[in-house]
Amino acid sequence: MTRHWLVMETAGEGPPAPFVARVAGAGRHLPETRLTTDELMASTRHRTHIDLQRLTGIRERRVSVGDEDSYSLATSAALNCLATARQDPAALDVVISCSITKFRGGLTQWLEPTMSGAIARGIGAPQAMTFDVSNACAGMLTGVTILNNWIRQGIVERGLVVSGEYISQLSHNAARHIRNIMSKELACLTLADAGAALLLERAPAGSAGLALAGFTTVADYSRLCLAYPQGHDPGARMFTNSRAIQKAAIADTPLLLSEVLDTVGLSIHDIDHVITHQTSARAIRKGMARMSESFGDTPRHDAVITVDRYGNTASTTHTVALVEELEAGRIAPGDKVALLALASGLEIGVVLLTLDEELVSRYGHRH
Amino acid sequence: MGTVIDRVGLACPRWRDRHSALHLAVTAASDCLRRAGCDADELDLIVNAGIYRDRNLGEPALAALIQQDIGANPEDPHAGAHGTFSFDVANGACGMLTALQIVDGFLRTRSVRRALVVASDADPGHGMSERFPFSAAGAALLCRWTDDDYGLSGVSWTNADGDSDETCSATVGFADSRNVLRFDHSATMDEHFAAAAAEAARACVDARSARLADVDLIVAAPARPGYRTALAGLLGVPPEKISVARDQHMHTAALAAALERGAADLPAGAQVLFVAAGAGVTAGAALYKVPPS
Repeated sequence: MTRHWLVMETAGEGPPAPFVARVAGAGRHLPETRLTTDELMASTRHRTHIDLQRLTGIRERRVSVGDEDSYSLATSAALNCLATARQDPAALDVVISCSITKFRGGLTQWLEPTMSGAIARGIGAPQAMTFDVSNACAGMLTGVTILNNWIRQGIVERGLVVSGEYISQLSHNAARHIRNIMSKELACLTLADAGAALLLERAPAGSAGLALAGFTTVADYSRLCLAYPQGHDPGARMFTNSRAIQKAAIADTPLLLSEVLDTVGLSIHDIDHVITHQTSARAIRKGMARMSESFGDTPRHDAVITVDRYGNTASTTHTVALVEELEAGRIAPGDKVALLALASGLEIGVVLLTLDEELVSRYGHRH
Repeated sequence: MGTVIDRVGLACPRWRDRHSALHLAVTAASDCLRRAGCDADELDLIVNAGIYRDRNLGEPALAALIQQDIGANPEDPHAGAHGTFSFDVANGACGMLTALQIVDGFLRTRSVRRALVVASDADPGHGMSERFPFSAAGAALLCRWTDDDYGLSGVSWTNADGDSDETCSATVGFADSRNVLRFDHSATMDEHFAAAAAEAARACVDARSARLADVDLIVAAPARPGYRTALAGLLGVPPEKISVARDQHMHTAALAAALERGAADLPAGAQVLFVAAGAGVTAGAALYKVPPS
């Protein structure tokens, strides 16, 4: 038997799964307030001489001005997702909250009770099993992987993976401390707020849906990005060795992606859309160029970039971008979409999925 | 057919670990693996259910740091070998039961062969907390799949009605120019927990057409005597039938400690009922048929 580096389901190991997890809905909520990179950089305490827009491609991001927090962002996104899917929340078996930030009632981080329980009650699903997942910016895709296992095996029928990230506070904190481009808090300046939700439900084996989810943690790099409350700043601060993370991600991702493609019998050119974690447009383009070099071919379309408008919205980036593509009519039923997770840990994951006509049509486009 | 627990590991708190949930988790995990004769590299999955940790760390998942420190395939991916996937879950004192259910999903799909559930809590100290109510403790459960008629059943969950934040809560809030971890709970917390736990236990037993009388041992969390007595009363069983951790102040590690304390002498085929209740109020229960040792 071939062993894979990634933790993932492989055909031939155990009985075939009786069901597929189909994506029944994808929703998001973005705060109204736009903060441009110029405005953010004008707020730094020190003269930093950093051209953040050139470095990251971020022109602006959406931020809560204190009127929204992790809970309200998550709840709004969940309701948006359920409304799009025309799904009664009372039929949810499970609600999994996957955010890094758990701010509810301003900048108060709730460790207990769970954020998922509060969200479930807030959206009208008080009966649902609830728990929180914490896996940095890979949180939502980790939640999807957990739920996918359960749906495929018939343990649950329907579940919501949700996240609300009120994380721009870290950016404001960093603006008070950053002195130059070598600062370990530079990555904080990419952070922005958003809520996102994905609804997965049971479908017959062979249906469109999640084809495969594979994950690994390259733990030798676990200390390259750490976030915690520190000193006299509200919320938290985050310290990142971005250069080392990018180097590791670029070196390790091609092997892992090829494991996924081999497992499902696809080539890189069979993938229609690639949605990576959104940290910087430059990093995404560089990573994809390296990937193309390694595979000798490219996916059908250029990697999706939303970081220029929405910044790095932590665990919600993939869903925020997926909804963007659906609303723009760029994803057709049957298209193969690869979501690539890259997060502090170092977490690397690939979720391969296909969306069906029923879902795509909910975004106002018929193909 | 199901998920079985091969070994329980517990961390005895040492003075230098009193403020480090990471050290406690690593000690418990290492002890568990050593006693099971399992190399850390054999692990495919690490799920950490602990909550209170060093520096109130927000990211990465503590599980990733645990993975690195126990040496479970921390290196760059390479062909022909397998890696380890690590992440955290949080569900208060129910976290270990949630983690077991998650591990069961990965084992059932054969995505992993060996998984480790870890949970630890410690007062972050250094002015970062106020009146921390829990003992420094850590635990680990080494899990695998069996095709024989043993292991974990499905988990039944219940959520109590009422004000979810009042019964028991923990927050990190900004006051007087610093972030501080604070706790609050109502005087009737144990009664609320016991009521939800009893409901989950009955739902679990009913769903599997079993009878409470056929259960040999109830393994429960949290470990407080008031909760145990109230739960015994509601279920109509003698309190001795409910195993809880020796240390009543243990938090997320309490379920594993209760299992270690009560199930050591149970024969193969004995029926255990896991019951956990936590903030929310939420409670879960699962039957577990003890495998041959």
